[in-house]
Amino acid sequence: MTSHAGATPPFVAPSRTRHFSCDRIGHTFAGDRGDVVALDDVSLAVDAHEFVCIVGPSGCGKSTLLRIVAGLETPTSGRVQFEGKEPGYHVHGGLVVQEHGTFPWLSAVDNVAFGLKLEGVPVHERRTRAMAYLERVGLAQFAHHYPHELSVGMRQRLGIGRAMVVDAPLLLMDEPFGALDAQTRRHMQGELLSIWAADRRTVVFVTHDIEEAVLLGDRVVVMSGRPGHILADIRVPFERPRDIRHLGVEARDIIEDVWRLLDPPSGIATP
Amino acid sequence: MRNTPQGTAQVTAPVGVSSRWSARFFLIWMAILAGLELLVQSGAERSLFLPAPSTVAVSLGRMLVDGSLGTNLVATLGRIALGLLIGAGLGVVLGLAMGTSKRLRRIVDPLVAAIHPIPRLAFFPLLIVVLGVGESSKLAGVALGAFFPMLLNTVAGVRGLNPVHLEIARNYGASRGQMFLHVLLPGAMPLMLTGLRLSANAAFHSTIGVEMVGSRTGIGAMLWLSWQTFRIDHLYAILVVIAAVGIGLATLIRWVTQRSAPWMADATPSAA
Repeated sequence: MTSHAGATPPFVAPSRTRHFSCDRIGHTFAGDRGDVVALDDVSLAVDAHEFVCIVGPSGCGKSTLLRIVAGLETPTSGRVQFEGKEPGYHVHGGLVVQEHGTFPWLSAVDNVAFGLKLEGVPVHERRTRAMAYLERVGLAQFAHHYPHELSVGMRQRLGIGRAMVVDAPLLLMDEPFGALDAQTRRHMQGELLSIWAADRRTVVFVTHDIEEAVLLGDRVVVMSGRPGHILADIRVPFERPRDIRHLGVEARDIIEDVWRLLDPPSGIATP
Repeated sequence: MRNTPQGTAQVTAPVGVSSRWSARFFLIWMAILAGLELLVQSGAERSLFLPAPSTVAVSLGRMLVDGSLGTNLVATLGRIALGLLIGAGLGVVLGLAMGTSKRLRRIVDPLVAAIHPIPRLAFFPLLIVVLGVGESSKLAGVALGAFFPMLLNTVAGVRGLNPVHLEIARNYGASRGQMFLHVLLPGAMPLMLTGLRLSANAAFHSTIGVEMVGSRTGIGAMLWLSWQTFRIDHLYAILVVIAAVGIGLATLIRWVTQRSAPWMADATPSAA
């Protein structure tokens, strides 16, 4: 079914454990023209080592949900419960946003080492550890370049390296490839999967690109807006490791399903 | 500190171009000076306000030899340095505070808006009344000039921080101190350096102004004295010195800028 390319030994998933769960989350933004309900009664459970993609149109609250999980936003109602942690536990590290999230004043290696610096890791050790991840994202020879000297795709890889070097077991990615052109995007999707395969951290990946969600995720959570709620939670049956170039045909059915969910046939098309 | 191959390559090209240009400019100016010299020496130009360039050069040499230029230059540079330190220092501190505190901004903003349009030298009489005719009123005048550009640019720098950077740092568990040190300060640095450049200019201008109006020492005082004693050659000589100080100051600030924000190396070669 899938062609297994790649020399990395297959990752043996440990028995299923819950990583975190969102319990009936509601979130309302107070606006000038009245309140906007961004999320309404959203419940979502994510297991450890799962790659969960959240897909939906812009404004459906998917980024808000991610920010709530990251602890950057406190939900108006409901709560996020991390397995074995106190309620209100703050996720440490692991946030990846679009390429403008890199710090322009730090060289590539220092950008990756940023989280380690905050943790108080000594300069020599954090450089060494950052270099290892720089290598993994294919930027070792650009270690001393500043972000403005790198391409958009390279900066994006920098952001991924920065999130992975800290030992955060959870990666939260907010449309990380949104600013990339289609070709670079496809390339980065493949790279992300191969980087991820090494230790399979739990990933929550927000995107508005349905195809991307299906290619990458173990699950695709489909959201709809106004107010934001979950329409469906689809399990993607493809084996790991995946070669996203060979998923095209099999993935199409699932992609079509998601399209139908988000864009139900109008009264004219079906009686 | 950190050398990027791209950075050095990009810097060398314009330097080569500009040095060729400055050689050309140098020749043009030499020709103009020689023309002036001929004009005055031949007696064709007799007006009082145009001394021969050689006369100016001789006066400059004499000032140098008798030590008057040295002492006054030290006094002026000292005032610029100390005034800049005090003014820009206060500007940074208040600017950072205002940038981060909405309440403080609400209180101070109208005050700044009211004072900012007044030329700084206009405050000098008041400063003399309050602080006396000594050195402190002069320093206060210079510091006042240096204060506003630094304040306004620091506030703008903090306000213009990329919110994504703050969130990433927060997500990585940055403490308030770490946030300040590792995100706020470097993020606001480009505009703060612009503020420093403008503040240095303002301190320089204020120093010359203050020295002309109310000082016995400094280049500004020398300039004023040469007008009062009608030594036109001195006047020109001192203007040359002032120009040199201005260029030196701009070069120093550019060097500081490149050292403190190497990541914007190719974005800064604008003239100070």
